[in-house]
Amino acid sequence: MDKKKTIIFAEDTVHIAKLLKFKLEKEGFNLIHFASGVGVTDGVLQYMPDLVLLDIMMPVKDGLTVLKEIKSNPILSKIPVVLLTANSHEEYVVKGLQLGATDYILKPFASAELVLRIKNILKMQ
Amino acid sequence: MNIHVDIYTFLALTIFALLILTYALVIQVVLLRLFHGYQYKQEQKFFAVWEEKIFMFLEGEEKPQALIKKINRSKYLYLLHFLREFLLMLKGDDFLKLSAIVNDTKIQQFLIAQIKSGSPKKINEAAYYLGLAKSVAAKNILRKKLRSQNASVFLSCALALARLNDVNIIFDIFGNARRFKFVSKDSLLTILSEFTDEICAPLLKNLKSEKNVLIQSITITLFRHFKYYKAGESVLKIMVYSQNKEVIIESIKFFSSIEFMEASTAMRSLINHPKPEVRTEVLKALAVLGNESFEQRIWDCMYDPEYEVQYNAVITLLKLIPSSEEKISQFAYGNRKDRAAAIARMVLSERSIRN
Repeated sequence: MDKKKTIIFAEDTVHIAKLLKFKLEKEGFNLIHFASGVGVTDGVLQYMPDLVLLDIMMPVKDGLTVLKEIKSNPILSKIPVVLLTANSHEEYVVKGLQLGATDYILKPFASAELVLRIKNILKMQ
Repeated sequence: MNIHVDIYTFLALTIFALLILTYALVIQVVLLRLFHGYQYKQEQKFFAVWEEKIFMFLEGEEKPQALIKKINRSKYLYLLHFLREFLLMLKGDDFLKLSAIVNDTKIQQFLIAQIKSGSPKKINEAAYYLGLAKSVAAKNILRKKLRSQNASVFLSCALALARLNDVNIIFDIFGNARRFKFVSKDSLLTILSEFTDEICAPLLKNLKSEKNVLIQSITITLFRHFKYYKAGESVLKIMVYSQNKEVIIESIKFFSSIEFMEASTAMRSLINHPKPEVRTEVLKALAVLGNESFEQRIWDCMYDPEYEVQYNAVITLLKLIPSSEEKISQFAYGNRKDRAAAIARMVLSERSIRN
């Protein structure tokens, strides 16, 4: 039997985070949630997830800072990172892709599409 | 009868009255906190119970009417608070299913009844949720409320109609906004940018005859927001004849955002505009729209009396003509006491830190 894939995701909007957890766990993923960018890089080091899903706009520590930390660490830099951001912040997406993000999803998003894209990225790894 | 009150009695009575007032205020604050605390707890309890039911509803085939039957009318607002994040952040099937909870059930009538109430607080809240859920059935009542004397009611109903993409009411929004002194350009832009790019065509048609500079400026900002390339020619005509700083600046930003190269000739005259804000914006735009033929003009701007213009002249030169870096560097370090050279040194130093 396949080992459950682990996803770390950082998202500060509580209900959306719970919905994503519900949807992705139903798809057989193991989810670890952070309510802000604080501690995410340590979490990635500890759990070595198969994918990281990062909201860009978060209090205290934003997603791009976390992405930079992950990509500058040679142990973690191969882990795919998917960015989640508001439609109006496309310039952050460009910056994120330059920093090494694998893909991005704009809010508002369809949860089914998000699940599909995560599956595709994991399949390609 | 003579009432004689000496000064001590008067002071004692005043202190007593103040004490009573203070106690009353403290009790009011405590009661309000208790009330809000109770409401918060009730809401959290509701969320805990309903969270999974809503998630299951999204997955399954349950009808929204059946789901709502299980909720007491007094809890409708809790449900709406819960749905708020989802209606803002989800699209596709998820959004359709969640908005059906509002639009295909008694909740819609509940919200429309709130709009009909005289309370601005209730109207604002209901308009917010009807807009979020894109309740087409509420369009007419929301349109009527645009004429409200209350500015917050006008703004909340305009926002709801914008979320419903009711393109026909754009000019009603402009017209009614004039009645309120404190409805700013920014609040109007926040509302109008909630429409889809379908508003651009009627706005462009109107722009050709529009004389109000605020509406001209808002319209051009919206064209930039929607990257509406079709408006390029018309905006260029307006910019060339406009005397209004805001309109000119918004036009330049628009041209830069859509890379409208036809505007670069007009920039030649604007580079000497009397307002420094306009000269600054022209320089920023030239980094995108300019070419090497602008080089000397931009060099001249390094001697502008305004710091912002000088600073942007160096940045634009470096962006537009990368080969000019050496020349700028020689100028910057060869003229130690010159103000323009000092600014050039500053820009080069900032650039080297960034690189």
